[in-house]
Amino acid sequence: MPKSLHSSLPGAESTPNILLILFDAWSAANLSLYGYPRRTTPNLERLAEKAIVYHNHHAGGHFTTPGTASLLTGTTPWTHQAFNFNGNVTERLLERNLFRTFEAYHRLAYTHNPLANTLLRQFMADINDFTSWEQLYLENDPLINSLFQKDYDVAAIGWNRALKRLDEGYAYSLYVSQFYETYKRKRVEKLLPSYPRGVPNYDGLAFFTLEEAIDWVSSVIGVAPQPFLGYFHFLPPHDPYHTHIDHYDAFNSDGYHPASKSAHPLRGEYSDATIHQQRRWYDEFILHVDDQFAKLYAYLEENGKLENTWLILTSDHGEMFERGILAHNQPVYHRPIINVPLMIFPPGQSQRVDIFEATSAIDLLPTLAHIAEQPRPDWSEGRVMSPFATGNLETRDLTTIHVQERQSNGAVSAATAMLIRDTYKLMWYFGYEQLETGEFIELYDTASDPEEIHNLYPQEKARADEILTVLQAKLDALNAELVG
Amino acid sequence: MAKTPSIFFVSPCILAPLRYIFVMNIFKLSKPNLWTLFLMAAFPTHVWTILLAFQDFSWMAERNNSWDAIGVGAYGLLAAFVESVFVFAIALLLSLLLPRVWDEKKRLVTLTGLIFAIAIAEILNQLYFLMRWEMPAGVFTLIIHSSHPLWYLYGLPLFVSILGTGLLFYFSVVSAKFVDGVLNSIERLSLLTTLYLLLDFVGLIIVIIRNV
Repeated sequence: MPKSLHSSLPGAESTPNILLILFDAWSAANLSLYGYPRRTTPNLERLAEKAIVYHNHHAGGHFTTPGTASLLTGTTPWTHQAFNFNGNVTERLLERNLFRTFEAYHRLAYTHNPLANTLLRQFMADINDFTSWEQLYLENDPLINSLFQKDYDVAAIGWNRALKRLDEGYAYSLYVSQFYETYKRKRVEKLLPSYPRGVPNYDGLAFFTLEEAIDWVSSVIGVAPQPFLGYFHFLPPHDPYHTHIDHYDAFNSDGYHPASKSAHPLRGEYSDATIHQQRRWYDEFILHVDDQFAKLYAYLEENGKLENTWLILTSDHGEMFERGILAHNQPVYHRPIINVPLMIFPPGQSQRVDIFEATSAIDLLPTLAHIAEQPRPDWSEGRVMSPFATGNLETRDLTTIHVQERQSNGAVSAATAMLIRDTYKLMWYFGYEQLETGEFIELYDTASDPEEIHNLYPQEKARADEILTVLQAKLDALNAELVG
Repeated sequence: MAKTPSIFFVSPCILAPLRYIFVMNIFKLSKPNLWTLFLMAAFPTHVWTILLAFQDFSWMAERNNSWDAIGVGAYGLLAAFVESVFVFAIALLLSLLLPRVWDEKKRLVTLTGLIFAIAIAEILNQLYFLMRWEMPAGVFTLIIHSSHPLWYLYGLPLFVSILGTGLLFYFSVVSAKFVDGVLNSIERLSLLTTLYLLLDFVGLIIVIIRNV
């Protein structure tokens, strides 16, 4: 750790807490903190004056499962193999996770996102205070929570199956479910004046508010035993982009039009108007996230928590509104999807530090272990980031993979693999039905073309082949494991 | 001063309604028939819960494991028991609307008939979604093009309900054969429902084990 940072730590003799705040599907490309033309993060810009701001941070994957798994295990999807929707990390990593690294800490974890919840459940043996995802949703019933604390997950599913008809239109209960649905709908409807586009929700099934979640985190960490490691993963600004009325239509008719980019072979069936509108709604939802994070920060500051807490702010993956792709439904690794924010607020920090080197979600675990003076896990594929690393950092490749389909023997048959070497970024797609030749390759020089507009693959085949050889070797190794 | 145990305050709240039910017999039903009515209230809720819990079993076992899948069913059975108590309570309240001169058999048959009619309507309603039934296109077009589509959508089921309830009352009054036939069915279903209540007990044990 640099001396200036270390010496700024008041009461360095006491062990500081680690508080990791993660907002889901939060693209760095849409943050004014990083130069986005719309002013989406006025609070973060202000708070950045007391933070280390990472400008080239990469998520582990293009959706929650691989992105969160990389962050929690310090390994890439090549290793943790959590590629599938709601998938788990491979069994040999069960005892290799962020929470195990901080064994001496009181460890708390919560996520709004059921996919991240599946991963946290895998590490429950290493979490002292695990709160299940449903608990901060409006549908959560405190009675079930208090009566069946030890079996909350299954009790909640049983309760839901008994009383919730939802879109399926049926439940175990014949009569009470009718009244229960009406009661719940009214509860959600009460919030509609604050959310003109609808109350924030997960997949239209369960509703929540970020305000309530932030208040809850404040109350939980206010009484948590010290030192603690808190992992709190909130769904906003994930779709649907239902912002608060305070930010509703904040960017309507602002005249902003992003750079036009040619359609991607894996694009969805979305019109430009839809993509443009969804981008605006997303940006307005980011304003709400920015607002709520500022509220949490103010609480921590007012209560003196920041004097002895490392606060980390990041995301599991980004969101995309270009090339005919909406949100993060297509397996691509363009900048808006893979570049996510990362800010670290060291205790007592009073100046802004900007880091421009390429960092990754897999670096967070070894970096946190380093700053908390915990043993550095040798199984992590990441490294300690600047400005905490000692000596010059060697150049390295950043890589990830998404497995779309596998053959009956387990081998990968359709996938997207990405590798970043120096300023060059290569994306290799193969096996997708939409690809006419069965394969598609993109190569960009992110230094001269940060918007990734000019595909250099046809001109720089030699460079691309060199990177493809590395990816092919990694794929062969992965296949050997998956088939074996 | 010694604190008075709260049970002395609670007991009048429990005992007073029981006194009304059993001693003053305001519902005009004997204890065995009250029990039978409860079993009839429990039958449809339990049948539906058990059917859907079986349907969910493989999904839940695949997502978690078989023990968790059994757990979900156990919680479902407890909810079904609670719902049965509610249905029974409402049936008792409805019994106050029946003519005081009716004997116990007629009262039991009519109330059971009402419980089953509502349950069947609700099961059909849920089956519509469960089986993904679709209204025939011709009927749909007819309703849309009628001058009062809402009358057809809500009025028709209301008419069927009133007709069904009317027929139930009519046969309960005029046909001893109908009453005996229903009572015979009630007797058989009571035995089956007792088995379901045993399953509730097993469900309770499972829930306790899971929460210890």
